[in-house]
Amino acid sequence: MNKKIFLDRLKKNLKELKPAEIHKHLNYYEELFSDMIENGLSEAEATAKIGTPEKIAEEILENAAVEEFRERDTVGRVLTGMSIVFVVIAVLAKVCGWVLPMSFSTSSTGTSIGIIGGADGPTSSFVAGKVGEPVALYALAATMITMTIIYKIYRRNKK
Amino acid sequence: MNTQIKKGLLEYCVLSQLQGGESYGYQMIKDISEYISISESTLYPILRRLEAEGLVQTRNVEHNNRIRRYFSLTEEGKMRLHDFVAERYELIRVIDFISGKEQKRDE
Repeated sequence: MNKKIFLDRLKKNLKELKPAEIHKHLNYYEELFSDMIENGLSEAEATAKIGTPEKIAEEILENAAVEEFRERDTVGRVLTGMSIVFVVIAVLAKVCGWVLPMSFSTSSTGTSIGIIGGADGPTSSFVAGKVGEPVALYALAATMITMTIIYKIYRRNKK
Repeated sequence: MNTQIKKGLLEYCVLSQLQGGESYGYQMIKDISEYISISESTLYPILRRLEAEGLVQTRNVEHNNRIRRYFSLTEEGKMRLHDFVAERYELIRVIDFISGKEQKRDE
């Protein structure tokens, strides 16, 4: 195993920790590696001396304080999840929106959309078309995405 | 050696070793290994703890186009080491007691 593989594997096994913490550990082992090689050890000998990255990672995680671990971002996950759901719904509505008003207009008269009462004749199809566009859904999806982004930025800056 | 006791002693080994001037990871391992076995993975948590407690400080030095972190004692670190050395007879007494050498005085 060479230095790069060692460090990559160590990094992978430390992913429960905060990025800054991972960085510190990687720096330490990278320096150690370089110093060992400078002292005449081969990369293989250095790895053998230090131990497997999995074992090192296990030791590091055992000794890590609570605040060194990545915090579970429940709020962020919920926001992201909701954003995705709303985008999916909005997309579906958009796709169906092209179909639904047409089927509406053929199967029934414009009066089926009763919310906007009094729209008859040529106006009805116009209004129906507008209602068919799920503007509120788009707005919701956009709001969710914006909220998620703002939350994520806020969280990042807080650290 | 018992790992718990060794853990505590190693901290002082590191502090003591830095008394001779600043040093870096690999050098410290080599120097301390002459007296007590210390692995690469045990040294780092100790250094981090000592740094967090303000007993050692670090500075980055460029060496062969890479960064090497040098550790050195702070005033607090020197004091901590001094206190430990000053109280070493307490430790020796405890060890004597454990090994049954300590005589019961008041009887």
